Amino acid sequence: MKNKAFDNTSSKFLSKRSCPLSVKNAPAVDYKNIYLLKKYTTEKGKILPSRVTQVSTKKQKELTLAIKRARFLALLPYVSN
Amino acid sequence: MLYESVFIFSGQMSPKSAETKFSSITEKINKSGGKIHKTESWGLRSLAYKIKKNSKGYYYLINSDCDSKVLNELNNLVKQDDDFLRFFNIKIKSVDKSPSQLDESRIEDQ
Repeated sequence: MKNKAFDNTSSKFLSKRSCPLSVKNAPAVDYKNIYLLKKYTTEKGKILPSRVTQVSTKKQKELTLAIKRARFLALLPYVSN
Repeated sequence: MLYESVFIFSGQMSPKSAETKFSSITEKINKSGGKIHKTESWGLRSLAYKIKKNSKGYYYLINSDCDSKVLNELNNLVKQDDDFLRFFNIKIKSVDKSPSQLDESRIEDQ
């Protein structure tokens, strides 16, 4: 009984959502795909932390590079009101 | 070496003069013995922020196989010319033949 109770709590609190960009058929992270990049920035234009979006470390690195490239090309804002 | 370059021309130019400027660049790459695998025009887009007092710009993309010296020359040329807003180069591993998300032909299809 003890074990069962423990399992219930662990499944509630330790279950992780998987990275949405590492699944099969996930869109490629690219600076040209601004519709995807916009999902991972706030309204003001900040990059959302992976802790909020559940993106894996590898993909988060790709995302930040892509967002910074898009910003340089004025496809995304550095800051917006 | 494969390169992907993006050019932004000033939105105050006419579409024709932007087109001729772009073709002069592709000629330069061809003359130096480089190969152009893909070109794209993203049309007149509004910029996310102002660059050199411009709020709009013509976007062009080239995927080419050329020497880095050519791109260095182009970079010097771009710095002297006020009609260029941005010049951007990255190395790529392979050329993606399908049009990118921002290509004009793709937007028209939707």
